[in-house]
Amino acid sequence: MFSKIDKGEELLSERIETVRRRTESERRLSIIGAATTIYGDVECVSALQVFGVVEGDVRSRVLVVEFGAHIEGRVFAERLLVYGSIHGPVTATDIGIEASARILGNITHNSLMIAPGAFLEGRRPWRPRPVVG
Amino acid sequence: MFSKSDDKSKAGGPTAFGDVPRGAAGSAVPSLISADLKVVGNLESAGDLQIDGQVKGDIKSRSVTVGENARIKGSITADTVRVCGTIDGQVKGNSVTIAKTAKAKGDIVHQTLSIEAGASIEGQIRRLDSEKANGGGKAVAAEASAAAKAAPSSSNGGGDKPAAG
Repeated sequence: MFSKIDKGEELLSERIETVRRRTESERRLSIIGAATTIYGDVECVSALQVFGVVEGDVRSRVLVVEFGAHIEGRVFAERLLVYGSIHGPVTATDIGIEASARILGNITHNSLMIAPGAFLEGRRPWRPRPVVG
Repeated sequence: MFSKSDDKSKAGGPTAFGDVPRGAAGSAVPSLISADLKVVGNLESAGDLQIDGQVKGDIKSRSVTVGENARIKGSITADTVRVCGTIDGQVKGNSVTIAKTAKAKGDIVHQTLSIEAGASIEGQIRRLDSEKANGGGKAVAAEASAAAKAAPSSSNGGGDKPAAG
C-alpha cells in the first residue's frame, strides 16, 4: 500500500543495524561528557574519550582528550590523541597532538606527532617503547 | 594517526579544530563509565551518567544509571537514579528506581521510589518530603525527633523495608 514506507523501513532497519553494531564495538568505550567533572583518578583498561574535566591522574590504554576537555593531572596512555588541554606530565607510547591542543608539561613519548598550531610547553623526551608499562 | 578515528567522529566527537563549537561538543554526550573504567574520587555532572564500571567516591549528577555490573562505593545524589548494580552508600534522588538485579547497601532518600521484586536493600528508606519539611515547618521536625526518641531501639523499624529476595 505504502511503497515509500517500505523503503523507509528498509533504511531505518539499516540504520538501526549500524547503530547496534557500533554500540557493540564501542561498548567498552568510556566517555566523560562535557558536563562532567571528576575530582580524582581515572583508570581505564580500554578506551576513554574525555569531553569534560578531570582533576586527577588519568590512565587509559587508548585516550582521546577532546576539544574543550581539560585534564589537570598526570596522563598515562599507550595511545593518546589530544584536541583539548592538559596541565601535567604526559607519558604515552604513541601521541597525536592536534592544532587545538594545549599541553603544559613534559611529554614522554616513543612516537610523537604534533600538528602546526598546537600550544606546547615543556620538554619532550623520547623513550624506547613501551613507554607505559 | 589512529585507524579508528572515523568511528570517533561518528560518535559525535570533533575531528579537527573548529569542527564543533566549544562546549557544545559534549553537552549532548552522556557520560559513560564502562566496565573497563575505574574512578577513584568524586564525580560531578550536569548531564546524564551511565555507570557500568567501578566508582569509589561520591556522585552528583542530573540523572544516574547504575548498570548491572557496576560497583559503587560512595553516595549518589541525582534527580533521577536507577540502580541495577551494586552500591555501598546513600542513594538520594527525586525519582529512585531499584531494579531487581540491584544490591543496595545504604540509605535511600527519595520522593518517588520504585523497587522491583528481587532487589536487595540494606538500609533505611526515607522520603525526601519529611527532610524538606524540616526546613519549612519546625513542628514536623520536632514531631519527627520526638518519634525518633520514642523508639530508639527500633530506629530501623519505621523506614526500613527489606525487599523480597
